[in-house]
Amino acid sequence: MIIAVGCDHIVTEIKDDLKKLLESKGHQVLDAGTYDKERTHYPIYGRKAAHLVTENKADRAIVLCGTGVGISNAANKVNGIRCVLASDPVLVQYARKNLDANVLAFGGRVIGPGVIEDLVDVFLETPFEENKHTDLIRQIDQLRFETDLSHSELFDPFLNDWEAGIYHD
Amino acid sequence: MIYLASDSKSRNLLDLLIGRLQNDCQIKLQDEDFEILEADVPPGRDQDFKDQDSEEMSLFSLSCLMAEKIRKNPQVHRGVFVDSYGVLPFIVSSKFPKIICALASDEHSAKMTRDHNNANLITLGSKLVGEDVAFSIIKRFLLGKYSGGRHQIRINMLNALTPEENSEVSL
Repeated sequence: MIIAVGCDHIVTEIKDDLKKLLESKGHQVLDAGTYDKERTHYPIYGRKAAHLVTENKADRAIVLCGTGVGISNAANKVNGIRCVLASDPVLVQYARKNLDANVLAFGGRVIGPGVIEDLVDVFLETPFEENKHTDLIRQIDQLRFETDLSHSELFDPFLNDWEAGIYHD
Repeated sequence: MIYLASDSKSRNLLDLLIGRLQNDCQIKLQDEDFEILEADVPPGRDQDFKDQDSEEMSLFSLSCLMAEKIRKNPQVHRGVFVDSYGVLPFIVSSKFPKIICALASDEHSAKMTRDHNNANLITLGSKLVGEDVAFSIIKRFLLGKYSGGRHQIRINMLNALTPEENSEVSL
């Protein structure tokens, strides 16, 4: 499969390990970033990885941040994405079987490498049960609130404000 | 206002949790603080549901209702949704503008998502967590404070990703 991955600066090394894991299992990985540990913002990479799926450039995506909440919300806000945020394989199995989840999210600071590998295996190996809930999935996919703006149109104004020091603790 | 919802299988757990929140010395949940949302199809949205009365379809409409309630005042309102796995309400509600939803099985995430994400809704799987962990997750979520600052740019980005003017769709 072709798998897109995305993360924020908190969990870059875990994403790099995930990439190696996926490649060792014979998958092709599209890395949406981030690529280093410089402070950045999860919505950029959650949306990018999700778009690789909805634009049919990747079959699935896996995204991560500290808890997985921020980046999973960014992915789910993309039209056509059904992202499961999980720390339990049984939850991923349910979301694949019943909801045809196309993105997996997890918290890189919440779970360890063993559970991550287990989640990934279940996510990639569990088929959608086609006779289940197709009307439900159609309803979910009709929730289309995402902006039409491109990445740079959407994010650049915020990044300019960030550079200008408007956002500080 | 704290909005609460569950599927029929998780209603017992939700009722237990409400009882504990009412008796908790930090939360002291009062009758006027919360409202339990029921799985009625929201007005004007009944067309698609006529022949589909499955639990999942009513959970879909209940998730939409939860999101609509919270986003009327997303800084103040909170939501807690308990169903078998938490994932259907998580996917549905997080699509809505101004909703930041956490699907949590652990107490750390419940605390951190308030602190960093300013999450206004949490979903839980009654098949995934037991009563004590579920209670601790909800308590940490309700007591947790958003720290703002550098985190606010990410919230602003999420809100810009689903602008309010895109939300007038017919479901």
